[in-house]
Amino acid sequence: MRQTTFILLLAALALISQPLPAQEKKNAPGLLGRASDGTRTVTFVTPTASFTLGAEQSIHPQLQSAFTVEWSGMLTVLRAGQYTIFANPGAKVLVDGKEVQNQPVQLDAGERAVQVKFQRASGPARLQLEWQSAFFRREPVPVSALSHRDEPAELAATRQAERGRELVEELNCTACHQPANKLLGGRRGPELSRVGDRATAAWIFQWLENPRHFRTNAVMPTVLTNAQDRADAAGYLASLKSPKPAAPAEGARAESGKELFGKVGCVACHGDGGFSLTGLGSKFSAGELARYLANPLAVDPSGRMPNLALSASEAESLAAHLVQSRNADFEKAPPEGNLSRGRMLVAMTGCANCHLVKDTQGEVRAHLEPPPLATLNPANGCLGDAPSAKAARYDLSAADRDALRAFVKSPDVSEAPVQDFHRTVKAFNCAACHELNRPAKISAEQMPPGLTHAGDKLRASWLQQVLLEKKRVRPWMDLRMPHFGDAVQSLTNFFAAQAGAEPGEGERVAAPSREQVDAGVKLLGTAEGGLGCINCHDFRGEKSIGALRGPDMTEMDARIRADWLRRWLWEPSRIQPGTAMPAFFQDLPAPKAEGMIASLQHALRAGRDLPLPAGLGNAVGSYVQKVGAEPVLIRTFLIGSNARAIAVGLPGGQSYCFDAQVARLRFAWTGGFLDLKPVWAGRGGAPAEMLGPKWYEAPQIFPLRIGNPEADPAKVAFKGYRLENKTPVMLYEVDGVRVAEKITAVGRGLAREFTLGEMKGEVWFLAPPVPGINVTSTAGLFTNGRLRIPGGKSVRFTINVTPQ
Amino acid sequence: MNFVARKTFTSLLALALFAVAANAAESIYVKRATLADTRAATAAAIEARFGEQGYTKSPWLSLGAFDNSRGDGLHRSFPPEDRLDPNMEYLGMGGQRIRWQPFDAPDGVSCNLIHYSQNRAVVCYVYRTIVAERDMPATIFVGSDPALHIWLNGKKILEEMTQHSLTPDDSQLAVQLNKGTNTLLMKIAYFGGGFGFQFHMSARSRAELAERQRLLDEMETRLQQDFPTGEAAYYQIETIPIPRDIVLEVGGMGFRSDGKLFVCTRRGEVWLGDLARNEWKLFASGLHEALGLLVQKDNQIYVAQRPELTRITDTDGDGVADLFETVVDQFGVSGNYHEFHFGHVRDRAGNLVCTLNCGWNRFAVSTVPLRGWAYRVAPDGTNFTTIALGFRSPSGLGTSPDGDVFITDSQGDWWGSSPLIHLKEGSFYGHPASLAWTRNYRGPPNPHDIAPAQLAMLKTQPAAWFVYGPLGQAPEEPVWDTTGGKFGPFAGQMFVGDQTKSSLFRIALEKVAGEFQGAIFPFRAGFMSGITRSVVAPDGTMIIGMTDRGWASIGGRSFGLQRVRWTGRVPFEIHTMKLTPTGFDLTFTKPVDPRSAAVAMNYSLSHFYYLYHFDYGSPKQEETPVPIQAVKISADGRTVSLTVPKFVIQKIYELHLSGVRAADGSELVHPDAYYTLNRLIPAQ
Repeated sequence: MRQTTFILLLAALALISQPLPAQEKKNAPGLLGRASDGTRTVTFVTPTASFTLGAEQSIHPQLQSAFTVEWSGMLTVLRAGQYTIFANPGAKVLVDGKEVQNQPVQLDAGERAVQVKFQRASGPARLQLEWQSAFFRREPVPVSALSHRDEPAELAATRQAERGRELVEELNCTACHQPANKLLGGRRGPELSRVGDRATAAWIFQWLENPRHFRTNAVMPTVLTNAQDRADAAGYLASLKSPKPAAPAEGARAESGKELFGKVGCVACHGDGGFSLTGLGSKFSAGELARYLANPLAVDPSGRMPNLALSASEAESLAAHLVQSRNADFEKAPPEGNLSRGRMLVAMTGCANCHLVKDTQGEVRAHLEPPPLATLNPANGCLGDAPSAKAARYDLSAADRDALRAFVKSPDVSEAPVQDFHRTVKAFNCAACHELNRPAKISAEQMPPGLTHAGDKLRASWLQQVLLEKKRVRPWMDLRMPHFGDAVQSLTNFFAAQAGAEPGEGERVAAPSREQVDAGVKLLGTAEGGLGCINCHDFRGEKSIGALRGPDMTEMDARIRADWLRRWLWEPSRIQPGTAMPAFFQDLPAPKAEGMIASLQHALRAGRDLPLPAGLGNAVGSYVQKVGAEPVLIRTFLIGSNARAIAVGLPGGQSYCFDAQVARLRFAWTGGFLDLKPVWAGRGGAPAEMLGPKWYEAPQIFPLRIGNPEADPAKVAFKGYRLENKTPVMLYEVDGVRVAEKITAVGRGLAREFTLGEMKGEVWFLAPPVPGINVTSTAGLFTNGRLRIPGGKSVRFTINVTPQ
Repeated sequence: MNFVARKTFTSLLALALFAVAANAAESIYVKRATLADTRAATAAAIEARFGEQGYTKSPWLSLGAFDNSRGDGLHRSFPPEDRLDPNMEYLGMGGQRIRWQPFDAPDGVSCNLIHYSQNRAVVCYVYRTIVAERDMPATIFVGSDPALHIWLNGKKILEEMTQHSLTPDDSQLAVQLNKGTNTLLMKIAYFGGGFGFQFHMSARSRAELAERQRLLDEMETRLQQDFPTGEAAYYQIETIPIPRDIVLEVGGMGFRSDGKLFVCTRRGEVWLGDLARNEWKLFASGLHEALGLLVQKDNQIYVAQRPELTRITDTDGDGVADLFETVVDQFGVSGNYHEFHFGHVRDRAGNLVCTLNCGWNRFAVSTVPLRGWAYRVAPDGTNFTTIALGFRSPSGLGTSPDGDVFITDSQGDWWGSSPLIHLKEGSFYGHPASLAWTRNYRGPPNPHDIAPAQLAMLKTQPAAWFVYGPLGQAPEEPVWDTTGGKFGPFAGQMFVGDQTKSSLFRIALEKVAGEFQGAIFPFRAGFMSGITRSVVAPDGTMIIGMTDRGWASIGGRSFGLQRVRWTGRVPFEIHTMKLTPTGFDLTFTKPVDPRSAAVAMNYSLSHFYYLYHFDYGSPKQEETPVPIQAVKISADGRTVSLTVPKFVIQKIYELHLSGVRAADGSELVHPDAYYTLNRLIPAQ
């Protein structure tokens, strides 16, 4: 084949750089909020102006529950026209300074100044900013349409105090310093009762000197500054072991562990700039690491390392990969330790404040009681610029120290679901894998669902199943949904609360009638009048029938709120731009579209009781190809042939496969001809099924030789076929000689009738013995499986292939 | 294993022997004052003529299980065959006492009997009665898994021994119902695998059922004529009847000099249709996913099928092809279902141009030679040459009246949305999989790993983007209005059908700085299936070929053939959207009303772009409103010039009009236009 001058051209093109469009200064996403409870005023940014609050909850953690709030920013209007912006009672919405809520208003295209004001009355409160226009249905105003420009200086102060709060909880300050406010959380350290399984005395000794030497972002403080103290504590802790060490796994493959590391999502937290795993082999044995990976929450229930639902062999492979990295410093033998002194240090110096430690004498009780949080002097102790020798040393940055000091000044907090949501999501790094108001950090072939609209979409009971009960609705994805246990329980309600959605389960359609189920199931299926949902969606655990896979149809209702599903069905790309889900209904007359959407939603309510839609299991149409009085030729994929296969069914039950890729007979079978369902159903294109046993497999050589029987032909080319009274005659060329091969059924076997064009020399037909097969010829003689026929103007001979 | 088929077969081959004709003599149409009333009255009249009547069926009863452990259950006679009594108790397998049980098996639905097997080889029976008002003929449609026998009124009417998976309507039995109660008994044997059956019946013949569907389709066409609304007032869609036996999943179409239409199908058949007489004849069969057809002579066509480009000839003049010659097979076929071979058009020099689809393995891949490339070849098979690369799923090809070849590709990995591509020698269009087959390729083993920024420097921009959603989701073959006005006011413009949206879109390109770019407009929605191919008919209508098999369409039917006809009324539309040095010129099909057209607020303009990345598709990026600074109307009232403050290139400009009327008061049928701005008019 002649390749055109691509390389030169590509190279030349590479030199031309195209001018890039000039970048304008962009608005920041979200709206600027300013709220006050009469005593304090806070300034903050939220993606939108929405919330759902219980009676005691507030709009911001730093405020009491009686508040007024005002958001300001820009609303991007892409198309001029009439819009209605909806807001709940108690709220006012101003566009370009004019009050517009709950009434139609004409908006020009462009960025419009928007303000949202709300005054809290007692009791539960809710605000969900929604809009509708001729261009889209009523929906929450999308986060992408809201932005703000100028950020006032007060924003930094509020953010600093919030960062301080975050640090108090991440560093577990309240384990030592009693908080007055019960809402202030903390995160316990891992249980150490069997820490000797997971780390050696050498490693613990080094770790205690400064955990940040092992991992720069470790949160554990340095407490023991004396080497002998560390040796004693390390000796004691390393002695705490399971009765039986975890056996090293056999057959664990580090390479597949490496692949898993990238695939299941470890890199989301342990990638560049994340939590380093360097030197892990100096801490863990492969067997113990596998035991830990199988369920990290067992030893560290409030930790950040999730349960990834790894199988035993996955955990073993991953461990085998990770222990390859070692750090010699952490393997140096420590000084001899005094175990009972070590136990005392664990109790007295604060270890037991954060860590649960049980040994043969029972739980080690904490004996350290620093001052309560409210009475701390932010300039001294752990927070001092130069921490005293007595204080735990966290090596915090100056900014973090200032943030902690700012928070500790007035460490009172309210329950505030909007900020609590964002703080929790940040702590558990959800946005590493999930899109949440901005693209996810990682990229994968298949990305997990976005969370930006999840509060409007998902029912609380479904979130409960996903977050706490390991439910998965996209089981085909490589990435694993991590499980953090009870630590993320609060998210089941926060999702709706931060979106201003109805709390709990949200809208549900009424239970369907039999007729509604029938009409809906018809739409799900692929028969006439069906939308073919099952082409791309799983159904009651059955894989979709097409190449794409979407969530199971029988779990839609349990998962998704009815109002969201209605909007999604109407215009999927408005909610998720670029989705593969087609908009089926927009182009239909509205009453028909509404009727179909209602049928679907009602049918989906039946959940796992839905009958199978048409197209699943047995497909419609006739696929079995039968052979009557005339041969039938079908080009298709067949197992046992190259992809250019030609199947021919002959009258009487014989069928053969001619491989056009190599221009020779490949095999023959007897019985029925073909089931073409794999070829013709759904997307098709799978190999046809042969409806009978193969009785002949031709030798893996090209049988014809022109002149020289020893060498393969230099060139064999398939030229097509002709139908001679419906019987196919295969046409090809061997070293420039034209060959016509007509195959017919003779008795229990096949007759291969060759006609060759003019040639000099002789023709050879090679037939190495095939067990159970007789090969005979109408001309020439076989010697050692080779038939020799003299050449001439036209050569004809027939080879009969018959079972013995 | 021994397979014996004793039943009458109706294979597609049998059809080849006879021309299949759908009788189009009659018309049932009851006109009333409103569309709804007319539809209701006509449908009632059609049902009165062709609906089911004259018999009632009882629910099914089922009975099992009987022993089939020796595999001879179909040959052995069990008690219900000797004495059929729904109230009787029988002795079943293992001495179990069994009775007839109600069995819920809706008509036409595949029903499962597997609960009778409990992992044993068994036989069971189903039974129902049919009460007929009179002696009458009927047709029973039945499919079974694996095999069954049927008795009607004690007489065996089907003895199916072949073991196979369930194919609905596999057997179609013409039967005679007696006045009064008829008994129907079916015996189904289980050997392992699936176990079930499917049944429905009709007192109507297959021809009558086809006629009923034809009349319903015809009614929809006439409703458009009598009650024109929206798009239908200007462009009518007529359904072309297809005989019931033909699965016309259209892969390619071409008119013969005598006005007959060749259609090749995904099932590998080539039909020759006489649309005027509704006669269809099988010209060829057995091809492998035929997705392109070009008529060479009346007895000779070129077809693009998976393994090759083939020249197919009827050498003996009997109307059926008998010679299949391989023209091109110099490309790889791995066996991946997604490796389609799309064809094919003629370029300026008369060569044939085809495209080779990428395979699919979670994303588009090119694991065998030339996947993702376009090639050309002389009609005699010589001069095979690659033309361009960087395609993903280039399923639509068309040659403009000026000889330019255009190709549509589909949104997916590396395609943020679906592009319309002007095919140029040596260009790379952006999907990297195909780069693996450039000579001396030295990039990473998987070309998807090449940095997008590097690829972006190599690639040639599409002439226009189909905005995902409003401009469809899977564009197919481009065709041009070459009717010189018979198809309405858009002579010379391009039309592209969409498979997912079952809609036609209209495209007006212009050359700016030497390259094509331009605007795409919605044109006509509401086709019956997913549009794959379109062709302009000799009478100035457009024939739309469709299938959505494997990919859903909003049309909903799995295949079909329809005709678009201009009603003669001129729609008020944006005829062209052209770039000017300062903005855009919109030319309309009719003079505009100067009052409404002069209001700048009536034009909402914004721009955005799509990401170029590995991920599947792309959201719109940075949607930015563009203020309209000035609106000027031309002296003849047909052209409105919009002025914008500045342009940004490599953006899609999305324009929506509201309230702009024609001077005659009519409203825009489609107030939307999408202009792909790649280049600016060079300064003079």
